[in-house]
Formats: sequence, structure tokens, C-alpha cells
Amino acid sequence: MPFPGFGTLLQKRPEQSATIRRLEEFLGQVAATSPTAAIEDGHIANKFGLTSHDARVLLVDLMLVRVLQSRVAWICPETYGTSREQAELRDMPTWIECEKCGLIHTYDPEQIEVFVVFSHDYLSSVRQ
Amino acid sequence: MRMKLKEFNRLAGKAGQYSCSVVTVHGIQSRGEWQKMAVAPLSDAGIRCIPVDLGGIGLLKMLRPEALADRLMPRVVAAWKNHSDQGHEPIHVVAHSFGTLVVARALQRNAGVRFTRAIMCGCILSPRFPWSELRDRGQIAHVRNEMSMEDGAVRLAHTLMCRWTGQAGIKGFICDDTELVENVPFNWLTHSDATGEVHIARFWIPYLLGTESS
Repeated sequence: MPFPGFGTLLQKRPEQSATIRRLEEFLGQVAATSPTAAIEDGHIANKFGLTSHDARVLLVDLMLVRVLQSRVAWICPETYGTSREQAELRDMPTWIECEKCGLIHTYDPEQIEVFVVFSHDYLSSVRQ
Repeated sequence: MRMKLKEFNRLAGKAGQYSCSVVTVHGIQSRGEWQKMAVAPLSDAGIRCIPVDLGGIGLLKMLRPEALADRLMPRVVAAWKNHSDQGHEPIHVVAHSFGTLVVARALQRNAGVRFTRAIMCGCILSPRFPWSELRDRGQIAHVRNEMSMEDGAVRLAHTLMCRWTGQAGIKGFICDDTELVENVPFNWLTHSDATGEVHIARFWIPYLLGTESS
């Protein structure tokens, strides 16, 4: 059963209908085999001949139509590794004792990165 | 995909990732150009922002400021409700000039409205405005009152025909609870200087995020 979010996206971006249909098929395959995977914009850009920016725009659009959901990562300014991850930015503390470098970091929005994974609703529809 | 919060929120808009939210309210003889300017840096910092447009308010309308504020305060309540309904708490407020009276009346007349932090600049409220009563009702946790002796507009506020107006933007609020109200002097700032981009980035954003240095 097709997930309604793709239909919404097709209406929003009719000029990209071919890409969106291929993307729908691709994401369905990935969701079936790797449901917890983070979706990489570089991989999408390479596979579908898009610029990195256009790939990110599409991924954010897929988040808006609930195929994907966003998560946030606090990047350690010393090691550039992930100090902490949360589903919602509001759940991030105002300071942390970093697991990567051991130092205390005060919350700085410049150190926050966002990535996307499959939404629960989409994974449920894929399993049906 | 790993993108900076700033880029993500610019693409995702109101559906982005936010650590808190803010309602901004402008003053008279203005359509709040600073509010529109502030949306982007606030959003980039993970603060969901709704600028409340009070419409153009001319000086003549200030003959009855309390009645005017009461007529306009539902717009503040609606903005608060938008954030609240979407689960974007804590919700803060930033108000300038006449906007400070509108926010005050919104809190006084709507006991369900809650702001965690409030920034008042160019504040025309009375120094004796009862913030502690609003705190006791659970409607406010902290007020940052940015004052300046050079604020000529606030200097005239005591002439307004309203029991709630006065010169808090110059003299500060009188409040025994120093954990509730913080009067912050910014000498030499004139009435609208605090709404500039640099000031917002340097002082407002850290305060709203709760990361300001003590």
C-alpha cells in the first residue's frame, strides 16, 4: 500500500515526479532491509543525479510528509564526534560532560546537526 | 544526511527542530521590522519564533492605552497558543515599548497563558508592576528588563492614562524576588537600540536558550 506522503510530495513537486517515484521505490527497499538507517543526502544525490542541496531539500520534504523524521546530534567541538543524540532538540540539556573528550560543553546551536531516519508510520506501512 | 541546525530549520520552517519558542511583540508607530529581521537568527539558533503584528498604532490611539492593549492582547494569546498546541515549550516572550503593556495585559487577563522567560526592552510598565503575582499563578518564571537612562520614549510613559504604565524601562522594576526580575542596565541605548541584530545575537538568544553567562 503506497504511503500517502509520497502522493503529497508529488503534488508539491510535479516537476520531480520521476525522481520521487524512483525515490519511493528505493526507500521502500532500504526500509525493508535497514529500518534504522540514517538516510544520507550524499548517497541520494549520487544515486539520483541530484546536487547535495537538492537532495537535502527532498529529504526535508520527506520529513514534512512524515515519510522520514528528524533527529539531532550534538557534535563535540574537540573531536567532531557525536556527544549526544536526541529525537527532539528541546530534550537536549544546556550543558553536557562530553563522552568523546571528557570536557564540559555548553549548549551552542552551532554544534547541533540534524539527520533523518524512517518514521514509525512509514515503517509500519512498509511492513504491511 | 547531516546538516547544520540552521540550514535544516531554514528548509523545514515551523516543522524544524527547536529547543524552545518565543513570541515577539512590537510597539507603536511600527510594524515591527525588527521582529521580521529576528525570525531568521532565532530560528537558526533553534528558537521557534512567532512575530505578533499589532498593526500600525498611531500616537492618538495611545490616549487610552489599557483599552487598546486589551483589544490587541488576543493576538499575543493566539501566538502563545500556536506554540503550545504544537508542543513547543518552554515558550518565552520578547516585547518592546507598547508591546510590553500588551504582553502584561495578556498575562493578567488570561491566567492560562504561561511564558517561562520574558525580555522587556523600552519597557513602559510601572516599576511596581506585580510580576510576583503572575509568578504565583505560574505564568512567568523570569523577567529580564533591559533598561537605559537614554530612553526618551519611556521617560514619557508615566504621562499615559493607565494604572499599569510607568518608567520601568529607565528606573527598573521594584521586586523583592531577585530570582524573578533582573534589571539589566544598558546605558546609552535609545528606545529601539536593543532590537538590533547584534544585540539580539549577543544577549537575547543566549538568554532565551538559557545559556547566558551569569
